[in-house]
Amino acid sequence: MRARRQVADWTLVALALALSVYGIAMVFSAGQTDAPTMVARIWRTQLMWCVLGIGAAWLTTRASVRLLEWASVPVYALSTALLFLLLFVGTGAGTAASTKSWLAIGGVRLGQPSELAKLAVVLCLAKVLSSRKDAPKSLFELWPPVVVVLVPWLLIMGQPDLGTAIVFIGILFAMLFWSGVSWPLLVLLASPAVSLVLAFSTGLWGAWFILLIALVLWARPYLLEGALVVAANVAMGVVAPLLWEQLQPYQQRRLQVFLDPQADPRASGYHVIQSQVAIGSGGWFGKGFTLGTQKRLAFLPAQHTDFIFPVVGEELGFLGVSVALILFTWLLLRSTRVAGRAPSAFPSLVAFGLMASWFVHILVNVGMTLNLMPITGIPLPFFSYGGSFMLSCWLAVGMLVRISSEGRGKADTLVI
Amino acid sequence: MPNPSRPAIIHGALLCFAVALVVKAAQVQLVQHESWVARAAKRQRADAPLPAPRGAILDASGAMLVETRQLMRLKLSAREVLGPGDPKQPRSATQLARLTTLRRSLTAAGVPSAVVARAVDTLVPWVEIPGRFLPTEVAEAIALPGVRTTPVLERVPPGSEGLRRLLGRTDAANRPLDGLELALDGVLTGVEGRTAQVKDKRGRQFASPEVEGTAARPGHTVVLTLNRSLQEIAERALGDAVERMGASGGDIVVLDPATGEVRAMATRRAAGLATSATAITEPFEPGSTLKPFVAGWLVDHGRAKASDVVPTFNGKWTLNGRTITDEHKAPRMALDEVIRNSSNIGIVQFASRMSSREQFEMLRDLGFGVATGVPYPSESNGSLAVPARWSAQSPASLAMGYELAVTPLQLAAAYGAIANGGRLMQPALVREVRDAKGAVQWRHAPRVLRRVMSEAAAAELRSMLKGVVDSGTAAGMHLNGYDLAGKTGTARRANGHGGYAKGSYTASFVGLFPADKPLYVLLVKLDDPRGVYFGGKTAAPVSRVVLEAAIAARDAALDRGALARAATPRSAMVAAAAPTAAIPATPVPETVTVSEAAASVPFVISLGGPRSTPARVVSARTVPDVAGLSAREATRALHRAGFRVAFVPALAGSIPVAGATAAAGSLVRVGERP
Repeated sequence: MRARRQVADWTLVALALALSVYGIAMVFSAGQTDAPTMVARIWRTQLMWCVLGIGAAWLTTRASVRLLEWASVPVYALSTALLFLLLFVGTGAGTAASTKSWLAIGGVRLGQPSELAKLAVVLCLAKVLSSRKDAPKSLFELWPPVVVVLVPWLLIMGQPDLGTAIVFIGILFAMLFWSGVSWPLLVLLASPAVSLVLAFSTGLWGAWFILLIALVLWARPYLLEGALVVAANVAMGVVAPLLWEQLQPYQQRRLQVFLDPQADPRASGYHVIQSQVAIGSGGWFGKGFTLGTQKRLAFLPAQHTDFIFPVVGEELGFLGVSVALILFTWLLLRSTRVAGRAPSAFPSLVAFGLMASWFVHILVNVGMTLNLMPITGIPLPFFSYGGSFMLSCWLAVGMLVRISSEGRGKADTLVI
Repeated sequence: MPNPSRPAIIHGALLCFAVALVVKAAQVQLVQHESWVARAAKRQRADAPLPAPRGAILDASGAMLVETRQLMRLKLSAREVLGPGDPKQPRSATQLARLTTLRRSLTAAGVPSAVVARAVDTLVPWVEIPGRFLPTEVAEAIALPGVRTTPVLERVPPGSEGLRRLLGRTDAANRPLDGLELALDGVLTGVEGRTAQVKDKRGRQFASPEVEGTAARPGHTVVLTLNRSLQEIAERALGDAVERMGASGGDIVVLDPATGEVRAMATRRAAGLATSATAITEPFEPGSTLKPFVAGWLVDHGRAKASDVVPTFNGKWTLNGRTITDEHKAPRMALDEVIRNSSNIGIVQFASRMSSREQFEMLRDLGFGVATGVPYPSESNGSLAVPARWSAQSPASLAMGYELAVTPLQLAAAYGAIANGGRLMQPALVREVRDAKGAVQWRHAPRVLRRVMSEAAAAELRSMLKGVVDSGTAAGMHLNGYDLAGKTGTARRANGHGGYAKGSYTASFVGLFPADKPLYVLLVKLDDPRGVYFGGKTAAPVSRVVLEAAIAARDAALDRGALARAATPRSAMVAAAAPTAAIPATPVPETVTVSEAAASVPFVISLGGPRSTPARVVSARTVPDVAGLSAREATRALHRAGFRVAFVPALAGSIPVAGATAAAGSLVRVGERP
């Protein structure tokens, strides 16, 4: 199968580097406010983490795919243990002060183990899925990958960090899809969650339920499976209102505000509106690097982390936004290409999982700043300030480069 | 292994999502751009009005009467004073120094210690310092970061009551309440500017990087016709007189008869009676001061000569059932004697030579019953009834100055016509309006309203009025070296119930100074003086006090050249006495008892001219204490006290020393040390 040893995917590295430089420049700009805050100095820290990340990526490229495969289970066990530990010793930080996402020793914050967990889940999921000869054909066969994701997912929901938890769901479905699970099966797997969301409108839920029944009849899963899926949907429809009550009031408001930002413009809608004011007032070419008024005057919340994209929109305009989105899309396509050319199932799934993780981050983060998605505290890869995330992004780049260098020379159906 | 078609699906999906994001970004950034920009501006702009300073009011010589000064309000955040840094970390030396500077500066500016303590407390987000400060007072504090200033304009009110009444007041927002401030608001008010400022989420303000503010245009400066020195002299004299005589109030108007410009206008009322410049707003029955106009009209129209004699029935005469009495009792008087002695019977006899219509038109032409049109809110018209409403008594009453009410300003303006040869000038309070750069926007041009008598009649009248001071009701009121012409008035005061109050009089005197070529018309009116109430014994001495002080003062708007030509050999110069010596002179009783305690200032400037009569006795004065005053203030204080001043280097205190008695007009040497 293997034609010849490939050179590393330098385009991918160049893209990651370009995004990092762009991102650090925006972190620098985010610190340029009229009333100086500590954010003014953090771009240096971010730069340091980036250099560190590039070093770590280089080390990762020295590790073969087999080594990665071997390491996947211990890494998964370690990250799960850390997540478990966090429930007891975790601390909050910055904009997520009330959560327990941070591992700190002696008051010094070391990082967010959930970033490690993303990589670990990708590796472990790839190992589990690649160990099969063919793709899972029924819901029952899906239990190993589901469990692999469910454990860290529950631990992260316990922090609670809804945004990161969404990434895990994204990774799961993406990798199942890539491993060849048929789409009706994926729909059936997702159906209880869809029921949960749609249960707030009886009409919508009813329509969904009829579609589901039709799907079950058409896809013909095992009888027990079909019955279970239907039962789960009914149950979700019933518990949804109860679960809604269980949500924190701020979470409820965020969901409501997503549907109508003007409902609560002072409080929950504030983020969305200020973000859109920043992006919208940027126009074609923006207000100039470091000159965004929304940011300078501190109207933009978390302008160096979750809401860094509006800074791009305000200061560099539609042009800057387009460049960033093109770079991101290119990176994702390049990663998919790596996955497509991978020598075997494991590296292919790893590459695709890493791509999926970035994709969810980008889509949710940019989507929320543009009011396409509800607000969830989820950072933008290479842009948002945060050491662990920068590090994990570059580790991912390192893995992708290694996989690409071991890849098949054959071009896929689509060449980027 | 992945299904071969899956990469294509993924590629498609990624592109779709990317396009979706770009399209949404385009919608927000390109389509909705304007509305988001407007929204940003609404939140971020914090344009504040820049108050325009209200124009100053100056006197004719350019001395400041009312001005607007800029003060500032302070608002600060101790946390911002410290600058960026972790509040949990110990403070650096710079930060401590800043707090110390802040504390010291605020304490020095007189901020209460409790407020200072709050201001340096980093736990308090923002502290507004009460009060308003001069920029120099808090210069150190406002140089610190985190200390914000808001400019405040404060109108400094004029120092004296008379000026306050005339110029009016403003409220805390510098809006006019009354007086000239209100009447001239249109020129005094400037045009507000705007700062271009942005505010952040926490309300902190910064200069806008993009937009430029508009500067405020200050209001115009108004130059009045008043002379501040003369105004001070008049107010002081009036205040002294009102207090000494127990009067309920009084007015002094000094007018330049050649131009109609008001040089001084002092008003005083017992508390609660009136807050306005009553010389403009409060008419009174003038009494005998109106008699000269009847005489003038008769002379002008050939109906009488100064020497025409009428019977005066030894001071008691009944006309139409009304008994008219005279203070000066004589069987008969000539017209000039009638004026000189202020004979009621005589003037009524002479007035019967006029028809009612003629009498009314004479009074109307003199401007009575019609507002003069000076820019003052609520100027009174006075009152003058048309003949159709007159009773049988009215011609006699009007001849004696009753049944009509005139304001002091109207009366002074009418006397101006006697002084300047028969032309009634429109009274003026405003000489010039200048813009903030000093360019003249408007200048008062003297305006003749009409001729009310011939030159000859005016001259004849002036000589009759001189007789009043020579040997009439205001005898002895001449000044050293100058003749004064004038007419006294002692009118009964209305009781408010259609009759006259017993024992209540308005004493008045209208003087022309100097008598032959008057430079001033000076009206003094005292309301309800206790004790001696005759105008000649009350108001006339006040006039003399004012004139003497005006002559002594260096800058009282007198044309000294004209004055020198008008000087008459009436009294000798005090200057004959060795002026530098401190003569402990003994006070000698003056002819007028009422004015004895008045601050009379003898004439001390040598103006030449014959000196035939013996020197008047010089009154002794106490040298005021000028220690610690500036040269200007010291000079003014000494001039006010009636001394001449010379500054000598290397001298401490003054010679004679403060508190010593010295002859009025003598030289006081003052040391030139600070």
